[in-house]
Amino acid sequence: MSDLAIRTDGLTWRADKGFALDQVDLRVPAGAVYGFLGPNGAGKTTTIRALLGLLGPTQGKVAVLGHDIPSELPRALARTGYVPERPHLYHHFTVAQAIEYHGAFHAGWDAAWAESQRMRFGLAVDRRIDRLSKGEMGKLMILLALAQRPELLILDEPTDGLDPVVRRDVLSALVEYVDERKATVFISSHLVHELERICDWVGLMDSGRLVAEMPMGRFKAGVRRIRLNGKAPVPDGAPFTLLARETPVGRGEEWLVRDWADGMEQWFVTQGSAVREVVALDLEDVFVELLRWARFDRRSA
Amino acid sequence: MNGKMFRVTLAAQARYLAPVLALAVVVAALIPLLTVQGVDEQVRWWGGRAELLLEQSRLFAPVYPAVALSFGIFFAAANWLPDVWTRWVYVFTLPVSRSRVALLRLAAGIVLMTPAVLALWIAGMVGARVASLPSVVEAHPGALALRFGAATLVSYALTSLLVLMGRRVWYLGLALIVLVVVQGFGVHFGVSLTDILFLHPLSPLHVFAGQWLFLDV
Repeated sequence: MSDLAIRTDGLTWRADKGFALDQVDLRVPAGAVYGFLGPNGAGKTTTIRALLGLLGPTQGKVAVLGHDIPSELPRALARTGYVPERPHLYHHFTVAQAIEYHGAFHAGWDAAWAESQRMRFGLAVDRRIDRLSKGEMGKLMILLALAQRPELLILDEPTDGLDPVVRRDVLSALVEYVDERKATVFISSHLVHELERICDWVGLMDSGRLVAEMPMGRFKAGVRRIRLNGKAPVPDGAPFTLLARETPVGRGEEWLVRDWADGMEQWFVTQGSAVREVVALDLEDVFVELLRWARFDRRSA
Repeated sequence: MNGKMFRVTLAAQARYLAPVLALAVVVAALIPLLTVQGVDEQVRWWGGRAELLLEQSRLFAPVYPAVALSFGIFFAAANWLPDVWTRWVYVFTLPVSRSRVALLRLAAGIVLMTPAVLALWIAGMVGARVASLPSVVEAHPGALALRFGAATLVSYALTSLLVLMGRRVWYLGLALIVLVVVQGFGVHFGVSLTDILFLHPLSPLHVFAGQWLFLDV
């Protein structure tokens, strides 16, 4: 089996109204919990729809669990659990009917687990889908996705709009499953702090492009805000990547850098400058700064 | 697995289509009964029992294909409506090919049409028995029910195809209907579209053509 659970090469898709996915090269390692970040409208859901064969790429290749999409789509879907952004179940079903219907299409369906999870989530069997609250719907969706015992879970904003209690229930069911099965999880969200706790890989989308993709550790640790004293050096030959530079009024220059490591302050000294402060950013700040950088970079180009 | 998929598809469709199914059974049973109903009353005034029965049969003949067409369209629309509402996301993320989904739905639809066809057949037999037909008049409840079933199926399959194929095919279907209507007003295109659509032996719509007589000599 491939070491990559999801791989896209030059995935490109264009809508009539101008929105596009542009040369997206995703590499999701098998066994990873991959957070797919991006602001609303960045192209996360569109990318997921392409992974699931719900839209055909204009250009590029998609492979899910080693299966080419769309030619081997049913084989890929048989091993993939999906929770969409908006509930997609038939409104006239009851909870029991939805569970029975979904289970009939999945060879690995674990009916006993589904029943125990239904009881744990407190979902009444005779409740109609269109009468479920948002929280109940979220629980049912994750139940259906997990009870098919998938090797890959694709979750599109699974906790969006849920209250903290339900969100915790849903995420704990997910974490338990991943611990038990070592499944790959591809989870999209704009709730950065939520992903920080569970993800070990991060991909960042903006305006239809994959802006960054790296292990979470590097994503969190490598981005710093550097406050300088005195004259700022020319960044050529620096051991880190300069993302942005600003000069707050009345103070020295501030640099936003990537790939920072301890001891790199010394480089500034060799350039005749000095570091006043190195500020570690939390994940949300990193997310915002990387987006700002990506947008600035595009505008410059 | 296949049997299980079919069973849940059938159950889901039956639940959703229950009102349409009930209506289909009642209407299908009513047509042959209405064909023979009231004949005895008229015979007293006009005489000629056989002629009256045949006249009634001819009067109701267009109702059968019209009802079969409507049922097929209703069945198909109700069958695919939940998928249209969920923007096809659920059905297209099930781990089966799209052609297989269509076949499962089509097969379930055929099973669900059966009660209406049976109702027509049984009501036809009952109607023929109750009306005590003259010896020259023959009833064809079996053939009529089979034809009704085939026409409903064609209508169901074609509507399903239209729903599944998307906008381009809808426009094509719409254009064809417009052309047929325009031709109905006497505009000639060199060929008769109605003939091609309804009289060509290879056309699926051929089943709708001709007389649908419950009673004949």
